[in-house]
Amino acid sequence: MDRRKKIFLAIGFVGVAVGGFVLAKFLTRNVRKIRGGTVTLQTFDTPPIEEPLTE
Amino acid sequence: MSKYTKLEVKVPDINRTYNSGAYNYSKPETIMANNAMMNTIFRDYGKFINKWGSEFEVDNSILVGFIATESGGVNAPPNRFEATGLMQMTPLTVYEILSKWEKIVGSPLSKTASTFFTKAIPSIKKIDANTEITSAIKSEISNALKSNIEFNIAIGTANIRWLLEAFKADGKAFINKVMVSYNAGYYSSKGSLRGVITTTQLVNNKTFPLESRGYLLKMLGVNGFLDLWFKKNK
Repeated sequence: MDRRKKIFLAIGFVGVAVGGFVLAKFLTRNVRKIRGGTVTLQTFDTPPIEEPLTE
Repeated sequence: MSKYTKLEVKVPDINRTYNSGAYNYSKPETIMANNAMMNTIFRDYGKFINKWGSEFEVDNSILVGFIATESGGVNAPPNRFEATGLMQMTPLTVYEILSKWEKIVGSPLSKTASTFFTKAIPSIKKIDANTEITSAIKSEISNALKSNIEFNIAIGTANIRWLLEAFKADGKAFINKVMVSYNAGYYSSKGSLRGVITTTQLVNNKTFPLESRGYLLKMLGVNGFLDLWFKKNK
C-alpha cells in the first residue's frame, strides 16, 4: 500500500472513532451515572399538571 | 462488579407536580424551601448518607429525597405506626429486612453492615425469618432507631436496597415501585407491584393509598426532590 492510501486509511479510522464518540455523547447527553445505576434527565413540552390528587 | 441490580430512573418521571393545596411544589417559595431542606439534610447527615449509600449502592440524591419526604429532615420520635426518625423506619420492617436479607437480596450482608448492625442491635443473632418478633427485640430495635441516627440511615438505606431487589423485573430495579412499597408497606403492595409499571400508572392507580401516590409526585414529579437535586447538581 502506498503512503497516500495509508494516510487516508488512518484519517478514516480517526474519523470513525471521533464520529462514534461524538454520536455516543450526543445520544447520552441527558444520562448521568449515579451510584447504583443511571438517571436520565428529561423535560416536558407542556407545563406540569397541578391538580391535587384525589382518593 | 456490582452484586446488586442496576437502577434506571427518569427525572422527572411524570409531568405533574405535587399539590395538596397548602403545598404546591412548583411555587417558587416551596422550591426554595425544599432546596434549603435538602441542603440541610446533606450538610448534617451527608457523612452517613455517603457511607451507607456506598455500602448498599443507593445514590445520595435518592437518600436525601427519601429523608426529605419521610421526615423533612427531622429526627422524629415514633408516630402511631412506630415509624421513627429521619427515615421513618419501624421495628417490624427492620426485623423483616434483616431476617430475609439473603433470601430477597441474594447475597449475605457485608461484614461492614453486619458488624455495624450487630453493634446497634445485639439481638440481631436471634432474628429469624420463621420466628415472630419478641417484645425484647422490638424494644431494642426501637431504641436503636430513636437514639442512633447513623443506624436509622443505614437500615433505611438497606430497606431501599432490599425493596429494589424485591421488586426487580427484566433485570432492572425500579425506584418508583420502591417508593410506593416503602410508604404503603411491602406486604400490602407487593401483589400490585409486579413487572414494569410506569410512574404515571402508579400515580393514577387509586387502589394505592393517596399518600403513596403523593409520595411519587414529591420524589419523581416536576420540581420534586430528585428534579431539584439534579437541576442543582448538573
